Amino acid sequence: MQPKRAFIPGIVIVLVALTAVWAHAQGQIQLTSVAEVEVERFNQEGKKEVQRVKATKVLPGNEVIFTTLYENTGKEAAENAVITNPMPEHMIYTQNSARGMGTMITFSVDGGKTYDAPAKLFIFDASGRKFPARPQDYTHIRWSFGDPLPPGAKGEVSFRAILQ
Amino acid sequence: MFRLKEENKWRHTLSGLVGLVWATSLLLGTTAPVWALGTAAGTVIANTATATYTIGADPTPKTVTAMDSFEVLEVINTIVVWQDAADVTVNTPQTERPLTFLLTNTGNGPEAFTFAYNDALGSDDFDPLAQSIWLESNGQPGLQTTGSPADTVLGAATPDLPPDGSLLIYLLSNIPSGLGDGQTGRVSLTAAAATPGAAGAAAGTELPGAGLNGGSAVVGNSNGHSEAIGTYVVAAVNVQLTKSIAAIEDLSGGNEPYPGARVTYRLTVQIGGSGAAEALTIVDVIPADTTYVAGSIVLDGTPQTDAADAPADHTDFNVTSADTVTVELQDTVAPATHTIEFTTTIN
Repeated sequence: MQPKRAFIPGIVIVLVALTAVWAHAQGQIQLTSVAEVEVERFNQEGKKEVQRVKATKVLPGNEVIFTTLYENTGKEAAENAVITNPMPEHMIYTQNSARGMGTMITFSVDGGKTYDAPAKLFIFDASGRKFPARPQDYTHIRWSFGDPLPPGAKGEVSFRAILQ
Repeated sequence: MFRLKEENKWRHTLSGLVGLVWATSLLLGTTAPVWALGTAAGTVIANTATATYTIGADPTPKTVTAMDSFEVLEVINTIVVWQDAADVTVNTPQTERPLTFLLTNTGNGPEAFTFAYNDALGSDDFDPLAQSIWLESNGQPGLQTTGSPADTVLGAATPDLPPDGSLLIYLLSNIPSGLGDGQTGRVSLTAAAATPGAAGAAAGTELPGAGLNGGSAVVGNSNGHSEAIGTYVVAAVNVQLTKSIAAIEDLSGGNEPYPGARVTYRLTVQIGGSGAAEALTIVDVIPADTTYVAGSIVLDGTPQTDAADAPADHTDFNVTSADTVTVELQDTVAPATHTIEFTTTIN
């Protein structure tokens, strides 16, 4: 009997740990990021179709699709939700590629200090002259949710960029 | 970027154009823009998204992040470009004339290259005889096959070139004899990536284990090799010498070749073809039974002295060679014509 008793505290500790994870997750947004590339493959009918596969190794010049999946796994609504994504190094944003249902999408060209719509973004050269920002000038993308995310709400935001 | 004032003016137009081209290429499903040098192979690209939000009345923002990453594949690409500004002029025959090529590693990983040449191409007039391939290695412009340090003969392969690294290559050929002016001979130089399986493979071919750190390498648009053709052109100079009698003045005022008559000879030197006749010297021994009239040499209408008094003039009589008119025309570029006259008296 002695060995069995010795087990009990161990089980209790595991239960406590699990409860801690659960408590931590409550009221939380779960976020998953995935980078994918499109490849052309032949389907069973022998027709070419474009499929998305997880990006593991990418060639310069190829486009990568960055998707962020969100889910409110908590019991309360998440308010003022914003997803921010710095442009990864060596990537150039593909114009008009950002998507996000129910979000306002803005961009930054100053390292994330300020955000605005593409048409309202400008950059300045060394002599202070002003030019419309181009996709390669973008440093950050931001998705701002218009409404609170109720419990159970889930969706995704995404953008495409080309590897230099 | 855009440091120059002139470039700024372009910017508005360019940004629109780039966007349009980009959008078009995506619509058509064509390949994305290709950079000569992409992001270095093996680079890890990480993407991080951050969500911030608030719950209920608590104004403290909560944040959560998620990350995913991938690695940049190695792509093998190269380009060879013939560098000489114009067809390389050669004599017929001539040994070891260099054509200059520039090899560039346009891939994104280090790569060594091997070379092959083909000197029996068509669409030319003669086949140069390719001899050897040299690498520019001593830092001095042009090929030095001797000296310390000299450039180096290519071994099996070039050293590893870093991404975007370049190397000047000299291909040396012998030129056959008996060719005509203006005839051309072409030689091709092919650089092949030393990675096994890369050269000649279709673009997109994956070579497992051939990349950096044991990863894959992918063959780029150059199919793992690149060829450039250089051309030699024969610059053959030909010199034609014609001798005639320009005038005879006999003692009785006529023009008969009697003893005592003065005979003026005219030598016409025609340099044809192309290139230069180097150190061209015309010599004419005075005919037997005649006497040279002192100070009578005229070159292209200008009287010359009989003394060897270069650089005042480059003609003499009886100095360089006995009883001989010597006219040094030196290096003469074709086409050119020179007229030499001198006078003798019939004994």
